[in-house]
Amino acid sequence: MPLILLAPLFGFVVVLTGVRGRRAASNVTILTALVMLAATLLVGWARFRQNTPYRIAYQWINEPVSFTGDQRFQGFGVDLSVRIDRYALAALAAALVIFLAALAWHRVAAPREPGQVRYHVNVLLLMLSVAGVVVSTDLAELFAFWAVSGIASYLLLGHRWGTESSARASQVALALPFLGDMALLSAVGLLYSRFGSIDLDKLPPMLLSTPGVGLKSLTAVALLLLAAVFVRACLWPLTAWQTASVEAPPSLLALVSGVWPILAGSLLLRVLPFVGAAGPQAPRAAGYAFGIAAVAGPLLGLVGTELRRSLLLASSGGVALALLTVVYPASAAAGLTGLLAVALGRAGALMSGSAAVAAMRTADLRQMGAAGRIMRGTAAGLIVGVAAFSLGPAAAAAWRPRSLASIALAAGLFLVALAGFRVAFAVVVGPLRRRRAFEPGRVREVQVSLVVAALLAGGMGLLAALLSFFTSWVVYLGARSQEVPSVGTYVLHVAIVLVGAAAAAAAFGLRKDRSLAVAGRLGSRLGTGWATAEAILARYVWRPGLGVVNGVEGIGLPAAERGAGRAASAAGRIAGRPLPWITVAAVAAVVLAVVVGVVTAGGRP
Amino acid sequence: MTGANLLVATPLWAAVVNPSPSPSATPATFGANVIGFSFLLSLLVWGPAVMAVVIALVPNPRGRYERWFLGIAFWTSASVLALTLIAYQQFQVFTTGVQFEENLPWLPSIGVSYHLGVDGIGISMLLLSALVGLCAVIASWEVRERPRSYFVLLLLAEAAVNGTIAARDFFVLLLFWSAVAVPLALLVAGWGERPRAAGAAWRLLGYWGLSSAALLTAGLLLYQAAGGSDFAIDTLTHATPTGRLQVVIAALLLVAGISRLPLVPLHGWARAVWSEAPTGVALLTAGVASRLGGYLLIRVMAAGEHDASRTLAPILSGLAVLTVGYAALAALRSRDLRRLGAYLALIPGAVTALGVAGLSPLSLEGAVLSLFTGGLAAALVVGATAALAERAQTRSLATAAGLAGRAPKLAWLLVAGCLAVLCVPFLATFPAGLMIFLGSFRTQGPAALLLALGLVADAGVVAWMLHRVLFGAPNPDAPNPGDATLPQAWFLGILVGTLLWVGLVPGGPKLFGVPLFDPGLVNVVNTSTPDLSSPYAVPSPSAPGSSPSASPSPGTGPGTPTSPSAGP
Repeated sequence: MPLILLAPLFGFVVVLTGVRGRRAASNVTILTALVMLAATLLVGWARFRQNTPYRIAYQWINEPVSFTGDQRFQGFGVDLSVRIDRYALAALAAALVIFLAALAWHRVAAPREPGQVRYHVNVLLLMLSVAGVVVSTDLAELFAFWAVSGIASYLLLGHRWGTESSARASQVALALPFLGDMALLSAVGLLYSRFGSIDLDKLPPMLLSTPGVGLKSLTAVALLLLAAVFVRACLWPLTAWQTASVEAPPSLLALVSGVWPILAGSLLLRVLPFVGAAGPQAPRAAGYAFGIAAVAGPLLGLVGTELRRSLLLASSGGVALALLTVVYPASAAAGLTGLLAVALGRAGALMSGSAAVAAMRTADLRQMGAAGRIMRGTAAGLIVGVAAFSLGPAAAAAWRPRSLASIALAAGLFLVALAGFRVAFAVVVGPLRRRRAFEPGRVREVQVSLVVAALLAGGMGLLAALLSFFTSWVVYLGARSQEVPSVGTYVLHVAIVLVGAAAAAAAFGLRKDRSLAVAGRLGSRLGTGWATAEAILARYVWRPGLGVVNGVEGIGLPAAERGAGRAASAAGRIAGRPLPWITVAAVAAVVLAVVVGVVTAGGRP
Repeated sequence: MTGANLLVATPLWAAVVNPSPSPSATPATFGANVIGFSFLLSLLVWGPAVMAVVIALVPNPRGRYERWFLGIAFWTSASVLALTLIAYQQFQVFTTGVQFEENLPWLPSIGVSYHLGVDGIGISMLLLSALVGLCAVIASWEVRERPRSYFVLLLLAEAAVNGTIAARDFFVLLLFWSAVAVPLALLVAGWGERPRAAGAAWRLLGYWGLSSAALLTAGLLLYQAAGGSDFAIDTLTHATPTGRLQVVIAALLLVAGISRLPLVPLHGWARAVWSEAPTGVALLTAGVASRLGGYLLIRVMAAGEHDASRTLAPILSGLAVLTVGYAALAALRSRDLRRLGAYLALIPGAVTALGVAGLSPLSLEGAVLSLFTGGLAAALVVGATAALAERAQTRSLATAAGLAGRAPKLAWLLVAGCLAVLCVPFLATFPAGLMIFLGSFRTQGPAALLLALGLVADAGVVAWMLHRVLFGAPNPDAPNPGDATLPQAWFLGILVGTLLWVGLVPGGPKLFGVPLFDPGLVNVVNTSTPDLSSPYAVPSPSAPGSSPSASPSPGTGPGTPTSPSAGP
């Protein structure tokens, strides 16, 4: 079993069973991440020139379930199968950088966070399942690791036991993404029911050559898979499962929000053949959904003044743009690189932003400022992170074929940059005002380790974004011929990002107070609207549903039971009385004869 | 000894002297031939009953030896578990037919014989019964009120459950099936939480009485259709009643099964019993007694009434979907912690029902596996909520809040139980649920999809419950909760451990391809399901000139592995 999977499994067991202290747990976890990263880089170096992926498999379940009928359904097996190609290596490396940055950040910034061993156990579980998702080629195995990643994320986002906000947020973090997980399971079920296989390597050749399987089934599969990707990538309008968790420990928020786009992109890459085989409808639907999310997410990020929520929403647009690019095989490699850049940049920006929040004792952008003067490292980390998730999709977008979607791409790029740099400028420039029980003069730069951790993630994201401009890298990653965009296309997309940044500078750098005041008012209106929508949902959906259950549980069922009880006791009383038995026997015989006559077949002439 | 007893005892004694031959041999594995006598199943069935009699007769002057009753019950259950584990390990996998068979004529004039035997389904159910039975005894560690009567009834219930599972004669099955209700109802009425215990006991008797009546009627109709000579289950399931009669028989079996499983709308007893009964009794009913409903649906309905099963499958799948959604809403409405757990414990039964309704080889195999795994999950949820309510000294959701920090062990055990009912990977319910979903999509696609949506709603309810009870802010007015006691940790730990074990190595652990001490639950249940499900095999594509894309061997393993196949 490759070290990539064995190492986190071993670390998980060690920390769960043997470790009691904070430092020991942290050391084991960081060591595990380093070992995994070393293994990833080693495999990457070893297979640098090889185009074929590395494969290995172990049987987990292998049973004959039938001895007759269609041969495809006579056996059932789930393998622990591993496929390591360049996509997987790149995704793993990016994910592990996020893990290392988050772990280093947590070690320094949160020594007093309760539940330290629990924290590391859950991080190791997430590490194992992330690696599993990225390298799996068996759909059942992939789903298993996917679901465990979801459970680990839920446990992490709800880490702060005993706090109402954390508990409420983790509630959403479990329930909402479960919808996507069930969509994935349904897609796997539909695929198996049509093709008798759940192997991602064997299925693509069968998609269009299996008799009896039409476009409808393939489209349903494709849409379900895209739904799973959409939900877990945390795109508008399903961003709540992360934006509601802004009060989770910062390292965990950065970790979860950084890692899931990578997983979503990995899944999307793996299932591209199914999307392609479904005809034009599925990619078109994906285009619409991702395109709308790319615009709506950052737009929503402009409303309100909570720093972490704004960063999450702004970067969600970047994720949507990158995924939109991944959907098309010709631009998949560029899209993945852009996605990695967004994920890394998001994680770095969140860590830097959280450091600023902790130092300035507020998450409200209206009350923050002057980080460029008194917290330069943090400011640099924030700007680098935002630049990474703004630029990441820009290069990817250059590879997309021209279409109407280009308009959405351009709008999305602009809005992502605007919303992301809004946060950066709001924190970096302008005065830091005195508040009750807060003295601006006491604000200091955070520890160097925290700055370095955030810069590591953001810097790697920026590097990935820049790498996506190099066609040789994109071609190497894609391992097939890619249509190379012109320099002018690159320049155009970068220019859109720069225009967005300039607009943010003008609005939130030069006219910071007024712009943020408007954003704050819009945010509170949105909050009111959201509360109204929740009340309407409760009134017209939940309460009627609960009313039905109340009726059944509180009235219907007890009435039926009471009636049955009364009938039984009445029968008992009747049986105890002297009755005209001949009449009773005659009636019973007639009833029995009718029943027997109804249920048994009659004779034929 | 009376004549009737002599009639029963003599054939049994004769069996001791003349043991029946064991099944054809395969290479011996670890622990083979530890059990060499031929009345293993009778021992598993009657052993607890005999020890119940011993408990009833043990003198107890001035109550000095009350803890002896617990000790006897514990060692009886432990011995049953040990014997069952050895039998499980000795079970010949990859062969068909009944094993550990005992067949003695009893009432030959009507074709009744004392016929016991187990196949893959039966041995897995016996293992479940032994495990949950032991957990039920451990969960009853603190019973101080009339312990003699309590443990007598508990062992009798365990004996009746084992008898139902091992029975190969329908008459015997019916007797044991009906007999399960009596000790359980007495336990609920006598030791349940007042004032609702009596109502819960009556509900149990009422619903289970309905199921017994339905089963009796179905059995008599089957007996008639089979020629009226033999009550053997194999004979009855091979009978060919006419179309309409078959539907009536299947409908009666359906009523019998779903009222025991249970499914909405015949779930009234479950929410009452699982929330009011003492913890050990709730474990026994949720973990194994209720699984007998699914066992009946698979063993008799799906195995025998093929056409009628296909006709009624949409109804069964509809009820399964309804149960999953209803459980979510009813749990949301609940203000009682134990009742909330009771509603969540309905979910595994619904998943099993979908597997039966799927009527494909894979879904039926998943349904059989889910009898075991779902029983463990339901027992864990019910047990964990009961333990938490006891340690928190309150059942009210308004009072019990933020308990995770002060009862971390119980918190994790409850989380594990909730994740198990949601069929989360790494737990045993996942492989079963996966097989059920994948197998059901072909025949009951919309129902499978709706059940998946129902599970999303259940996930929401689980999240809400965990938020309210465990992870939210503690209630300063609530009594101080304590963490799990040693017996609670043990019985919940056994359930979680088994769920993890089967979830991680369902095919049994292997070292460099060599099976170790556990043959693998999936392999064990697989001995009987292919035969059972052969009438439901997926038909080969009939298009002329088309050849189905076939995998040449069972499983979807890779064509060219780069290293020898090895277990994880």
